[in-house]
Amino acid sequence: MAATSLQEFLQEVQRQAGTERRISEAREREFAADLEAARAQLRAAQQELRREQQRQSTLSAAFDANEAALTKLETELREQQGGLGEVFGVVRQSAGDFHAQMIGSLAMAERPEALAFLAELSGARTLPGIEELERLWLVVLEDMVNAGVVTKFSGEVVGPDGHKQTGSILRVGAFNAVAAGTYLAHVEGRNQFLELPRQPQGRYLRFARDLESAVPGEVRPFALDPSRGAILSQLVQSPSLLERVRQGREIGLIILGLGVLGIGMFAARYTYLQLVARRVRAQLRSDRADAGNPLGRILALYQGNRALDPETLEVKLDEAVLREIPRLEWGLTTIKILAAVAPLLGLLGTVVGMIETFQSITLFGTGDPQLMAGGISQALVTTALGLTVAIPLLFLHNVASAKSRYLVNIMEEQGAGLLARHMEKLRNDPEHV
Amino acid sequence: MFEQAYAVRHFFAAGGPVMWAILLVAIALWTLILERYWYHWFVYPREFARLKARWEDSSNDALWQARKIQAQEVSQLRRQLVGSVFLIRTFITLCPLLGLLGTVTGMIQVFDVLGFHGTGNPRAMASGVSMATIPTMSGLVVALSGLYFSIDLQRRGSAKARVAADVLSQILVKAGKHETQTASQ
Repeated sequence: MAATSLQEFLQEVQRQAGTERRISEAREREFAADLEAARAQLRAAQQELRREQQRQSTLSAAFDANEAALTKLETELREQQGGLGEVFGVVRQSAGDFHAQMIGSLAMAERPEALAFLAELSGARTLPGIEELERLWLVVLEDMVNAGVVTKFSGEVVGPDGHKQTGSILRVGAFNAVAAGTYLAHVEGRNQFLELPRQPQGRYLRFARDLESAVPGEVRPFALDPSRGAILSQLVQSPSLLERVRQGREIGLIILGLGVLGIGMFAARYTYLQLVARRVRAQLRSDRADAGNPLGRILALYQGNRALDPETLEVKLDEAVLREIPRLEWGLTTIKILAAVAPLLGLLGTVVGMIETFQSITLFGTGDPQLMAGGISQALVTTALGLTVAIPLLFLHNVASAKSRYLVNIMEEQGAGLLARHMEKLRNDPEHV
Repeated sequence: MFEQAYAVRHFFAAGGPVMWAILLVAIALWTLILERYWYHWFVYPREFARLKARWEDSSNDALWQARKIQAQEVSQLRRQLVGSVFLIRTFITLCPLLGLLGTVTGMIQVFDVLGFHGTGNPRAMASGVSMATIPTMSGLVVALSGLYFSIDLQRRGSAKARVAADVLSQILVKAGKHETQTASQ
């Protein structure tokens, strides 16, 4: 069994070796055929290369010939252009110059196409034609004429809050543009109009509104910014009232606090004095002594001491008046002191600001005015605040002290007189009491 | 006409906002001064004559009371005579202070321009300088224009009050003498 199987195995191996040999022979044949095909391809490619090299040499010869012809033609052209070459250079240069000039000019704000034409002309590599030359001339003339007229045109206005709005814009020459009574700033390059966040004083705005509503040919006054918006842009830079007050720093705040205190004291004192004055006037009219007012208290004193002789009564009266005076004059001195202290504090602020300025000069020199600005503005603002507090306080103190003096005067000089009248009345009409 | 109005407006614009305060004070000051002179010339003589007539007519028996009533009336008269002179003087004191305030605000303007343009542009500083100088000048002019009149009114007022006190007490003395004479007879 084993022997036969071995025999079979051998036969099988022999058979298979035969098959493999056949397969490899077939593959060798295939390879040989492939090699032949590749060789043929190579030959064809070499032939192609030779052809192309030939073509290249002919083409480069043609290029050289063309180049030579071109050079010849260019020299010919230059010869024939003569002076005109210069002219085209000048045209390009002046178109560039005008473009740079007009990009910020209000006069061309409503003609963006002219601006685009100038930009194209100044950047063009080709020679400008007759029409383009004429148009450049006309655009420049147009700008000159436009700079001298007041016109209305429709455009987009960007408000301070960034909100865009299309409306009619009034342009005054090449100087200012206004829309709906507000001055506009022209943004260079973008040809956009911004409403200035801070506008000039009201009467100038009224001029602008007047001008907008004027009929053509009418002459109206108008506040013009001849610097083409530079002055108006400086307006935006200048600080507001609140920012100014803040420049006064701590001393400024102290001065303002004192001012508020002084005005509060004045209000309290004046209301009190007004009340007392009203009661005193009522007392002057009535016969009954009312203890609710100074004059009434003095009259009550008389009524309590009627038995005394006039001289003693007068001494007692004077004493009573002296007791009333402090209550009427209380607080007025404080207001006066506040009015005197405010300018002194302003002076203190000035000195503190100047010290700071000189310190910055010591450190940085005088080269940069911005570094000194903080100290100087504190110095000036505190002085101004001191005066603005002192002036009304001085006035109010005078008003209040006039009032109190009037009341004291009634107590002092008229108290006795009233008393005398009272006595007289009593004597003439004894049964009344 | 328009040009004059424009010149005035330009003057006020060059002086800055303080000019309006000075104008207000000047108007108040001169209204008070004119009112005072009107009182002195037209109202006071009539008032005084009325008072004098009343005292000449009245018969008083108690001298002390009469004196006191007179003192009261004279003090009332004095108050009317010199009443607003006090306020006039206050306004005169306020004027130079307002001018000074204008100077300081003008200087603030000048330094703003300095910060913006540097020192190279003196023409730009001119508006600040005029804002500094015009209010000072105007304040001083207003104060000086009122100063003489305030002193004159004060003097006039106290002199008239003194004369009134004198005349009234003379009347009283005469009446008292007359009374004592009739009593002795």
